[in-house]
Amino acid sequence: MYIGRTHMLVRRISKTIFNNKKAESYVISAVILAGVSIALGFAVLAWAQSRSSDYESELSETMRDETAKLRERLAVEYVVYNNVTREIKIYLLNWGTIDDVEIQTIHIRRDTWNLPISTFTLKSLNCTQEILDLDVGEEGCIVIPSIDLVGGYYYVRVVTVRGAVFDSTFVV
Amino acid sequence: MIRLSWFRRFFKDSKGISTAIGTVLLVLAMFVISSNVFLFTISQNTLYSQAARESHQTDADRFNEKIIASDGNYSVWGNTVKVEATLTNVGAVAAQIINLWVFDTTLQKYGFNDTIVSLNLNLNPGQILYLREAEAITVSIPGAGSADNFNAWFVTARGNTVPVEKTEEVIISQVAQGIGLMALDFMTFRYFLYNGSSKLANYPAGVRSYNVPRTPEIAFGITLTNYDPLKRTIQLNQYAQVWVYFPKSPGTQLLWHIVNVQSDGTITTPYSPISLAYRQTRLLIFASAVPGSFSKVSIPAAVKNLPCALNLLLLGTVGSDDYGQNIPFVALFVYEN
Repeated sequence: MYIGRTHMLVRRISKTIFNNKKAESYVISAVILAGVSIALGFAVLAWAQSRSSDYESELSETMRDETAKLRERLAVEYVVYNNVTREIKIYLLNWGTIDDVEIQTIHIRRDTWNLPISTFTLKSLNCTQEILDLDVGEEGCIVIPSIDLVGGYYYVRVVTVRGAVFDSTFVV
Repeated sequence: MIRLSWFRRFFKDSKGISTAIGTVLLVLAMFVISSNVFLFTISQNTLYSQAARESHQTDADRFNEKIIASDGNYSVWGNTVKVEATLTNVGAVAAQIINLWVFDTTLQKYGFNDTIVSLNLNLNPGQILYLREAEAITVSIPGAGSADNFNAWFVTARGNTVPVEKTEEVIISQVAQGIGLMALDFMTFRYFLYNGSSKLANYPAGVRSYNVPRTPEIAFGITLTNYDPLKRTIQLNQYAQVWVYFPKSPGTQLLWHIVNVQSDGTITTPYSPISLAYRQTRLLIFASAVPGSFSKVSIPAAVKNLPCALNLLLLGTVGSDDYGQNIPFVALFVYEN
């Protein structure tokens, strides 16, 4: 009895819709409009999500780099210039709280004269074994070859790959 | 009633409902995304602030670290420079010594000893560390001589450098010119009991006292430093001895001759001359009744519970010259067990 009634209702509705062409176009246009709106909405949402995700990852990376840079500390234990071999030896200690401190550039400066050097080797403290970086508590030696210095008071600036800067002085 | 009619009207005329729902969803989405970004930025800023605070604390600790290295003394043995010093932590934070640098200003050479990390030279605020005798730190500088001039500095784990301040040279030279080339350290005078026929008990610490037992047999340990103003090495021969006499028992004189002692306290024979480079401090043992060999010294019962005077007779060579010095000043009381 109940199934019969329902069946009749469905037939009546479908008859109304399919016989009425005007109603059919309304429904189709409504469906298309709704679909486009939803799709567009999701696209905008996804785009916004991806932009915010990019921003977050960029910010995260920047903060990580800056934090790592903040934790870097290098102390110059001793700087010596040998006027026979024409080389400078800079003895360093990583007393910071982060490992893998790599040296990017060394600047030797006197008054207005400044010499940036990137062709040097980082070695172990006894200047024998070549190493890549300095871990926490590790001491190392930088050998700068073939450099001519006249007597005087010099500044030395050590720049790390992370961008931290450490200064010291020495006398030739 | 009014609410019901509004509700009905709303559902009857649903024009614009999609706009409203869309707007709500859009606002919600934007709110969620912007909140996420905001919270993330805040958390990153917090992390950075934390790192900055730690960094400032690290710097503050470094500035508050203050170590004084005083009473510096250098002596050379072969290619090894021995550095003695007294380290005092006068700062507000604990400190660790990780390296010692020595620069030979005469030779223009330098060396360091970074193995001292293993010695755990840690100083709490106010703590004093004496690096003397066996605790002195050695640095290898090929070609260094005892007459050379040295500069030295310690390096702490925070990267601070602590220059070693030398002992007042002028006063020592004046004393050396006045009373002789060797100086005796009263505070470290000690005696030893025997642990076997030729082995000193509790070597090198011994017993630090000026009251000594009559029995059993004892040996003496005396710390000497070479302060020769000409910076020569002093070599002591087998006649270097401790001489003890008793004012209340005239005629009783006892001699303890210098001996060689291994690190475990065993006395070795025959005697081979002992050298002290300029400014070198060394613990010397006087134990033998006979020069050049070894036999224990017995103190006779006649001098029990009597005071006595102790003289140190030093003989040998200084550089290429002969050397002889008598150092008095120590008094002992011989008690009966």
